[in-house]
Amino acid sequence: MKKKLVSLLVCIFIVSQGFSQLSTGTIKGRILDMNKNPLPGAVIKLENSVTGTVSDANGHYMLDKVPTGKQKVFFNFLGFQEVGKKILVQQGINELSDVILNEEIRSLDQVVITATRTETNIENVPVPLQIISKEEIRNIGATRLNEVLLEQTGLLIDSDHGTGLQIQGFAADYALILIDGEPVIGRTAGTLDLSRIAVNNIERIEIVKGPTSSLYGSEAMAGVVNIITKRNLSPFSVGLQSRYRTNNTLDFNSSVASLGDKLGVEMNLDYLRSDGYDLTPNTISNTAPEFNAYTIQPKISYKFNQRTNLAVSARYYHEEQENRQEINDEQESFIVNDQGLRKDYAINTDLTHTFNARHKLRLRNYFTKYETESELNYQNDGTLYNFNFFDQSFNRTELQYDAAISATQSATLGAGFFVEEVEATRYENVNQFTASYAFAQYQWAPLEKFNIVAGARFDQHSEYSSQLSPKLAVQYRFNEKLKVQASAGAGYKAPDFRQLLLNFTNPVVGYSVFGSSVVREGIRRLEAEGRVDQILIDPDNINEIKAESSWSFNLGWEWNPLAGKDFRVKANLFRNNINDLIETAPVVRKTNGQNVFSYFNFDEVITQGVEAEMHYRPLNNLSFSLGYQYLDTRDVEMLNELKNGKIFASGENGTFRLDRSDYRGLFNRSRHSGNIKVNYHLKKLNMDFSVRGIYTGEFGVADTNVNGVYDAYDLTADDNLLWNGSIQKYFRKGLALEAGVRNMLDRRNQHVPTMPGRILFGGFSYQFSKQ
Amino acid sequence: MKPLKQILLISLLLLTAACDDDDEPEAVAPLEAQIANDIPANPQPPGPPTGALPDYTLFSFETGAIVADSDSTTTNWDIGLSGLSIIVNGGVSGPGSTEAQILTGLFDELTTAPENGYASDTAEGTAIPTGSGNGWYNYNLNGNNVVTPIPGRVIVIRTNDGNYAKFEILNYYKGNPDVTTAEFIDFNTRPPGRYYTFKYVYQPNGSRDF
Repeated sequence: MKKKLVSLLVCIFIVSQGFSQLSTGTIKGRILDMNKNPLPGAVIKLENSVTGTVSDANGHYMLDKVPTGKQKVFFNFLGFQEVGKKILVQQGINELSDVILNEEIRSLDQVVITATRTETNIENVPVPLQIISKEEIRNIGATRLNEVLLEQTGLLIDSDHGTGLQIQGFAADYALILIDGEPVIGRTAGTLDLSRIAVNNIERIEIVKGPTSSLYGSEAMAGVVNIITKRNLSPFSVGLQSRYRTNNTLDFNSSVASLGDKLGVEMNLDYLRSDGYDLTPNTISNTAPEFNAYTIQPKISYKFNQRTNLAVSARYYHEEQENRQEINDEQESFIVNDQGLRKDYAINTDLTHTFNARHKLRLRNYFTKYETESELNYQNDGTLYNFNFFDQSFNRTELQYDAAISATQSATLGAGFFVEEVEATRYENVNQFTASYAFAQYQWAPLEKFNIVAGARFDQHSEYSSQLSPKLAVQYRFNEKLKVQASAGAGYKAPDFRQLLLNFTNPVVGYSVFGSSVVREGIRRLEAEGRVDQILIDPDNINEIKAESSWSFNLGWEWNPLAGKDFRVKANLFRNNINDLIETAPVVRKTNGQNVFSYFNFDEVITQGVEAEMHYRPLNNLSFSLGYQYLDTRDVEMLNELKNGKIFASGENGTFRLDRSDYRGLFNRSRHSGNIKVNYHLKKLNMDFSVRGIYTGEFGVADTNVNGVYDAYDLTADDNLLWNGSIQKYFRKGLALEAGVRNMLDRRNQHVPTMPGRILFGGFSYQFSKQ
Repeated sequence: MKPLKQILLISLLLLTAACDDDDEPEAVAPLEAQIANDIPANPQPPGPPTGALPDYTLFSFETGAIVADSDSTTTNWDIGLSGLSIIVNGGVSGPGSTEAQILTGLFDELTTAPENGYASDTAEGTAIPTGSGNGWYNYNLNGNNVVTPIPGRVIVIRTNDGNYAKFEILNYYKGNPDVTTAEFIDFNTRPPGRYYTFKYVYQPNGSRDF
């Protein structure tokens, strides 16, 4: 009804204009895309007028009653760059030449979900956000998540207990990894090994930098990586992909999907095996072990009706590793065979109901389990030397309600609870924790140029203090060329299982470590056994452990100075103040002279820096980008000690005092990092070429002078420049071939065990979709 | 600034020496730091650890030498070394009255021993605490099971005779090796531990000046 009224009014307006200006003409022509395909539904409009029309199925348009004389016509199509044309209109028919619209790189219809937990246009997200498309993943030739994230500005890959992710100078413990919005669990010494996650089935990866605990709770202190898996939209599709790499590495991936009116079924299988590699041939163990791993990801969706949808997806990952190790037990050394097993599985049930365009309810249950086993056997007789296991499970139920209050306001409310269970060699019993939480978020755009996102989350946990995490983010768009965004938020990270539950006594030296949940009991036991020499901290005075928490500030801008050209410069300044970092401290001296340690909140750390990116696409088929991050990190207390002249180092000429200029920040952080990327599409042969250089600055490896700080005299790993390149050739009917090199210059660094030498690869892919 | 200070100090000394005719000009022999090399602290014989501790090696700062075990019930020794633990000749550890404390600073800058803050060995703990990060050393450097003295730790001793000594532990391995080399990190080529090398100054005149 409304529409009719509007068109009627428009008609009247046009007619009335026609009457007032007697001299008019008609313009006609055709609108095409870059590949000369017609664009139906494109909008053609006169400047300073409501006169307009829409192109037909063949891209043809005709606009009547155009006043004669000089006119400007605009041609528009969603996701394409607008074109304006000056014409001289004469009476009668004016035939214009074909208009070609170029696709917009920042397609306006790009919708993201991670930053607000609701589908939001990327242009309106007021926090630092990075999107990695499936095309980019394909160009990288990656099989695992670490290979993809390594090439992104501001993301650094950590090599401690697997490949972890550093965001804004935080250690790998502080990045939350999600698959379709649900957390991946299973960390070793804080690191969630990114090489567990296959990337063949990914639609896109969304990375939010800065604290996002206001929506996701623990671990989202440095940022969130959300892996959005592919969603099948065609009635039937099949995909096959295989790739072979140096080190006898084979990857095979297949997928099949069918989508009906109500029922959709998908299945994705991935197999990866490798011989591993060795960067230190003089040692017994391989740097990367021989392994084989498979991932199975089934997905079923069922549409009850237009409003209610159920999706059940699952993931199963299974990995076996084999290696050898040399064990040094005080005076003797021997070799053991090391067999490792790692698996995780997850089932995600997701029920959504849309009441109407304004109210949506989502009920989800997510169950996941992570298990590892490590068995060490003496090489000479095969008898057992050591067996370790770690089992962790997580079950979460969550309800989320989204409401569109008005055209400029929306709200999201959510609540949930979860149960965690862990059982492991170094923990006693099966340990169960429970937690509940609620969150709220409000989005408001009071002006077209200005929008706000405010939110907070409250978490209550059975083992540590409750946590409130607020966040406020604003964005102001000065004009089409410049937008600025600022945000402040709190983040937190729960004490991990070690910090809560560890019950460990070093068999050789005799010191002990008790987690904060078991320390009282542990000390009582030692007392009863008469093994306590001196109590340093009374167990009754030990406060409940707190989560590590942070306040962070981000200030960013995006600048698009050249109208009509795809040239963008983006930068973000960040500062993170992290408090209550958990460290060990002695609580009891035992009769053997050794200490019992437990975990306490005391350290304070600051990370700050700037991240900048420049993208330029001079031609449709050629693009460049440059990225850089400067990072400054510091341990506040240690730096004060150093400034007060209380930190020393020893060298050939004895012990000397360090000054401020000797301080290098936190270990394992690169002050400088960056990348350069060039992508070229050769139209004639339908080929893609891509070359990327990834730079990681030097970083501190070890406190060789044991003064507790990373200083100029400690062991440092050299900087690295990796050159990666790949070529894709596309054939008709969905067939493609690829070849490439990773680490072209064969750089090796013993302090970066996750970086093998030069890797050559080649493969093919086949994709069939029934439209 | 520094040379000026020195000149002033020297002239002052000369002046006082010239004026105080009555006093016998004491021979102010500058105290020179001595190095004690590879003092064995109950090193383990090759083979599985016997756990047989403590068998302390006794040391006297006055003589700069190891004191025989037979003198363990005398006040002839100042400190005893066994593995990572260091005892003083006092309290529960010996018949003497030796006390000690650990200070943070540079060895050479410690020109005057503190007046207070000393402790003797008690049942609750030794004056020089053991345990990684508690006292003078860190253990398990970067997962290599290495004992490394914390730089900038100076131990001050008040001996049985009321004289003062200061010492800084430089190394825990035989031959005072560089602990950062690959050769040292490799367990198979690492020299044996429990051999102390330390730098010390002993002030025999009872003053707190070093």
